[in-house]
Amino acid sequence: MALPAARLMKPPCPNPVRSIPQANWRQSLQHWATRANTGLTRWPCACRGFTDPGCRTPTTLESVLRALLAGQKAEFDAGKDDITRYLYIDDAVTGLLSAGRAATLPEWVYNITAGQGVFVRTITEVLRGLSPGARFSMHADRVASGGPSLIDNRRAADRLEFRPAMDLTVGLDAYLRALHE
Amino acid sequence: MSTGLRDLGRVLVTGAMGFLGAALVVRLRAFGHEVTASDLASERGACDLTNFADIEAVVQRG
Repeated sequence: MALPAARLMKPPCPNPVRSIPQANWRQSLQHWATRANTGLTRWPCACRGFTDPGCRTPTTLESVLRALLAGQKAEFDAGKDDITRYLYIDDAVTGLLSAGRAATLPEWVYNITAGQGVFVRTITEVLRGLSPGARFSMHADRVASGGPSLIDNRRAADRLEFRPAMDLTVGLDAYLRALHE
Repeated sequence: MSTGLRDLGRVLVTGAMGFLGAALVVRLRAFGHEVTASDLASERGACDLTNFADIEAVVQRG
Protein backbone atom coordinates (compact mmCIF):
# COMPACT_ATOMS: atom_id res chain seq x y z
CA MET A 1 0.00 0.00 0.00
CA ALA A 2 1.44 3.33 -1.03
CA LEU A 3 1.31 5.77 1.82
CA PRO A 4 0.68 9.48 1.29
CA ALA A 5 3.77 11.58 1.83
CA ALA A 6 2.25 13.23 4.89
CA ARG A 7 2.00 9.89 6.62
CA LEU A 8 5.63 9.08 5.96
CA MET A 9 6.77 12.15 7.85
CA LYS A 10 8.59 11.39 11.02
CA PRO A 11 7.21 12.81 14.25
CA PRO A 12 8.68 16.14 15.30
CA CYS A 13 11.80 15.57 17.35
CA PRO A 14 13.28 18.43 19.36
CA ASN A 15 16.63 16.72 19.60
CA PRO A 16 18.74 15.17 16.88
CA VAL A 17 17.22 11.95 15.70
CA ARG A 18 19.22 8.81 15.66
CA SER A 19 18.37 6.44 12.90
CA ILE A 20 19.81 3.06 13.53
CA PRO A 21 19.67 -0.16 11.55
CA GLN A 22 16.83 -2.45 12.51
CA ALA A 23 19.19 -5.16 13.69
CA ASN A 24 20.94 -2.78 16.05
CA TRP A 25 17.63 -1.44 17.27
CA ARG A 26 16.38 -4.91 18.06
CA GLN A 27 19.64 -5.68 19.77
CA SER A 28 19.33 -2.60 21.95
CA LEU A 29 15.75 -3.50 22.78
CA GLN A 30 16.77 -7.03 23.65
CA HIS A 31 19.42 -5.63 25.94
CA TRP A 32 16.98 -3.19 27.48
CA ALA A 33 14.33 -5.85 27.95
CA THR A 34 16.72 -8.09 29.79
CA ARG A 35 17.81 -5.26 32.05
CA ALA A 36 14.30 -4.03 32.72
CA ASN A 37 13.38 -7.06 34.78
CA THR A 38 10.74 -8.12 32.30
CA GLY A 39 11.82 -11.72 32.58
CA LEU A 40 12.79 -11.83 28.94
CA THR A 41 16.13 -13.19 27.95
CA ARG A 42 15.80 -12.35 24.28
CA TRP A 43 13.85 -10.05 22.03
CA PRO A 44 10.66 -11.79 20.90
CA CYS A 45 11.33 -12.05 17.17
CA ALA A 46 7.71 -13.00 16.52
CA CYS A 47 6.76 -9.38 17.05
CA ARG A 48 5.37 -8.20 13.76
CA GLY A 49 5.49 -4.94 11.93
CA PHE A 50 9.05 -3.74 12.52
CA THR A 51 10.58 -3.38 9.12
CA ASP A 52 12.50 -0.17 8.99
CA PRO A 53 15.15 1.81 10.78
CA GLY A 54 13.74 3.52 13.81
CA CYS A 55 13.45 7.07 15.01
CA ARG A 56 13.97 7.50 18.70
CA THR A 57 14.30 10.78 20.51
CA PRO A 58 16.39 10.61 23.69
CA THR A 59 14.44 11.81 26.68
CA THR A 60 15.85 14.63 28.77
CA LEU A 61 16.70 12.16 31.49
CA GLU A 62 18.45 9.83 29.08
CA SER A 63 20.53 12.71 27.74
CA VAL A 64 21.48 13.73 31.28
CA LEU A 65 22.45 10.21 32.29
CA ARG A 66 24.45 9.60 29.13
CA ALA A 67 26.38 12.80 29.76
CA LEU A 68 27.16 11.65 33.30
CA LEU A 69 28.33 8.28 32.07
CA ALA A 70 30.58 10.03 29.56
CA GLY A 71 32.06 12.15 32.33
CA GLN A 72 30.54 15.29 30.86
CA LYS A 73 28.58 18.06 32.47
CA ALA A 74 24.89 17.25 32.25
CA GLU A 75 22.64 20.07 31.13
CA PHE A 76 19.21 20.71 32.55
CA ASP A 77 17.04 23.19 30.70
CA ALA A 78 15.57 24.17 34.05
CA GLY A 79 16.34 25.86 37.34
CA LYS A 80 17.17 23.99 40.53
CA ASP A 81 13.84 24.92 42.08
CA ASP A 82 11.78 23.93 39.08
CA ILE A 83 9.46 21.01 39.51
CA THR A 84 9.60 17.89 37.42
CA ARG A 85 7.69 14.65 37.65
CA TYR A 86 9.17 11.26 37.53
CA LEU A 87 7.59 8.01 36.45
CA TYR A 88 9.58 4.86 35.89
CA ILE A 89 9.01 3.22 32.52
CA ASP A 90 7.78 -0.04 34.04
CA ASP A 91 5.18 1.85 36.06
CA ALA A 92 4.06 3.71 32.96
CA VAL A 93 3.60 0.43 31.10
CA THR A 94 1.72 -1.05 34.05
CA GLY A 95 -0.64 1.91 34.02
CA LEU A 96 -1.26 1.59 30.30
CA LEU A 97 -1.96 -2.11 30.57
CA SER A 98 -4.28 -1.55 33.51
CA ALA A 99 -6.26 0.88 31.37
CA GLY A 100 -6.19 -1.55 28.46
CA ARG A 101 -7.70 -4.39 30.43
CA ALA A 102 -10.23 -2.32 32.34
CA ALA A 103 -13.76 -3.46 31.63
CA THR A 104 -14.94 0.10 31.31
CA LEU A 105 -13.31 3.51 31.34
CA PRO A 106 -16.11 5.90 32.25
CA GLU A 107 -13.80 8.92 32.46
CA TRP A 108 -11.69 10.42 29.72
CA VAL A 109 -8.57 11.13 31.75
CA TYR A 110 -6.59 8.98 34.19
CA ASN A 111 -3.39 10.36 35.62
CA ILE A 112 -0.68 7.73 35.46
CA THR A 113 1.98 9.41 37.54
CA ALA A 114 4.14 8.91 40.56
CA GLY A 115 2.08 11.64 42.17
CA GLN A 116 4.42 14.02 43.92
CA GLY A 117 6.46 16.45 41.87
CA VAL A 118 10.15 16.71 42.72
CA PHE A 119 12.59 19.59 42.54
CA VAL A 120 15.24 19.41 39.85
CA ARG A 121 17.78 19.88 42.63
CA THR A 122 16.46 16.69 44.24
CA ILE A 123 17.17 14.84 41.00
CA THR A 124 20.71 16.20 40.91
CA GLU A 125 21.29 15.30 44.56
CA VAL A 126 20.22 11.74 43.93
CA LEU A 127 22.39 11.54 40.83
CA ARG A 128 25.40 12.87 42.74
CA GLY A 129 24.85 10.10 45.24
CA LEU A 130 24.73 7.52 42.46
CA SER A 131 27.49 9.03 40.38
CA PRO A 132 30.05 10.80 42.57
CA GLY A 133 31.65 13.72 40.81
CA ALA A 134 28.63 14.33 38.62
CA ARG A 135 28.48 17.87 37.27
CA PHE A 136 25.37 19.73 36.20
CA SER A 137 24.52 22.98 34.54
CA MET A 138 21.15 24.66 34.82
CA HIS A 139 19.57 28.07 34.75
CA ALA A 140 20.95 29.72 37.87
CA ASP A 141 18.61 32.69 37.92
CA ARG A 142 15.41 30.91 37.06
CA VAL A 143 12.66 31.56 39.57
CA ALA A 144 10.36 28.63 40.11
CA SER A 145 6.65 29.32 39.92
CA GLY A 146 5.71 27.24 42.93
CA GLY A 147 6.51 24.36 45.23
CA PRO A 148 6.01 20.66 44.72
CA SER A 149 2.57 19.89 43.44
CA LEU A 150 0.58 16.74 43.68
CA ILE A 151 -1.03 15.28 40.60
CA ASP A 152 -4.22 13.62 41.63
CA ASN A 153 -4.06 10.02 40.54
CA ARG A 154 -6.87 8.78 42.78
CA ARG A 155 -8.99 8.06 39.74
CA ALA A 156 -6.33 5.75 38.33
CA ALA A 157 -5.88 4.18 41.75
CA ASP A 158 -9.60 3.58 42.23
CA ARG A 159 -10.59 2.56 38.73
CA LEU A 160 -7.42 0.92 37.46
CA GLU A 161 -5.83 -0.14 40.72
CA PHE A 162 -2.72 1.68 39.54
CA ARG A 163 0.05 2.02 42.11
CA PRO A 164 3.45 3.40 41.05
CA ALA A 165 6.00 1.01 42.48
CA MET A 166 9.41 2.39 41.63
CA ASP A 167 11.21 4.67 44.06
CA LEU A 168 13.00 7.67 42.53
CA THR A 169 16.48 6.67 43.71
CA VAL A 170 16.08 3.02 42.80
CA GLY A 171 14.65 3.94 39.42
CA LEU A 172 17.43 6.37 38.58
CA ASP A 173 20.00 3.81 39.67
CA ALA A 174 18.40 1.14 37.48
CA TYR A 175 18.29 3.46 34.48
CA LEU A 176 21.88 4.54 34.98
CA ARG A 177 23.02 0.94 35.20
CA ALA A 178 21.03 -0.05 32.13
CA LEU A 179 22.60 2.71 30.04
CA HIS A 180 26.05 1.89 31.41
CA GLU A 181 25.79 -1.79 30.51
CA MET B 1 2.52 -5.54 38.71
CA SER B 2 -0.61 -6.83 37.08
CA THR B 3 -0.39 -10.05 35.10
CA GLY B 4 -4.05 -10.71 34.41
CA LEU B 5 -4.14 -9.58 30.81
CA ARG B 6 -5.71 -12.58 29.16
CA ASP B 7 -8.67 -10.53 28.05
CA LEU B 8 -6.64 -8.28 25.76
CA GLY B 9 -6.06 -10.75 22.94
CA ARG B 10 -4.42 -9.25 19.86
CA VAL B 11 -3.01 -5.82 20.42
CA LEU B 12 -2.06 -3.02 18.04
CA VAL B 13 0.56 -0.75 19.59
CA THR B 14 0.97 2.65 17.96
CA GLY B 15 4.18 4.56 18.51
CA ALA B 16 5.81 1.20 19.04
CA MET B 17 9.30 2.40 18.23
CA GLY B 18 9.28 5.07 20.90
CA PHE B 19 10.46 4.70 24.47
CA LEU B 20 7.09 3.91 25.99
CA GLY B 21 5.74 2.00 23.00
CA ALA B 22 8.75 -0.29 22.85
CA ALA B 23 8.48 -1.04 26.56
CA LEU B 24 4.79 -1.77 26.14
CA VAL B 25 5.48 -4.19 23.29
CA VAL B 26 8.05 -6.02 25.41
CA ARG B 27 5.60 -6.41 28.31
CA LEU B 28 2.73 -7.53 26.07
CA ARG B 29 4.94 -10.11 24.40
CA ALA B 30 6.10 -11.33 27.79
CA PHE B 31 2.45 -11.97 28.64
CA GLY B 32 1.98 -13.95 25.44
CA HIS B 33 -0.07 -11.47 23.46
CA GLU B 34 0.08 -11.25 19.70
CA VAL B 35 1.34 -7.76 19.00
CA THR B 36 1.20 -5.73 15.83
CA ALA B 37 3.46 -2.74 16.08
CA SER B 38 2.83 0.49 14.25
CA ASP B 39 4.96 3.59 14.07
CA LEU B 40 5.24 6.57 11.78
CA ALA B 41 8.94 5.88 11.52
CA SER B 42 8.19 2.58 9.83
CA GLU B 43 6.87 2.85 6.26
CA ARG B 44 5.32 -0.60 6.45
CA GLY B 45 3.95 -0.20 9.94
CA ALA B 46 2.63 3.35 9.60
CA CYS B 47 -1.10 3.88 9.47
CA ASP B 48 -3.68 6.64 9.72
CA LEU B 49 -5.46 6.07 13.02
CA THR B 50 -8.51 7.95 11.78
CA ASN B 51 -8.92 5.50 8.92
CA PHE B 52 -10.22 2.10 10.01
CA ALA B 53 -9.39 0.46 6.68
CA ASP B 54 -5.84 1.66 7.02
CA ILE B 55 -5.55 0.24 10.54
CA GLU B 56 -7.08 -3.03 9.42
CA ALA B 57 -4.60 -3.28 6.57
CA VAL B 58 -1.64 -2.88 8.91
CA VAL B 59 -3.03 -5.48 11.31
CA GLN B 60 -3.80 -7.94 8.53
CA ARG B 61 -0.44 -7.43 6.88
CA GLY B 62 1.42 -7.80 10.13
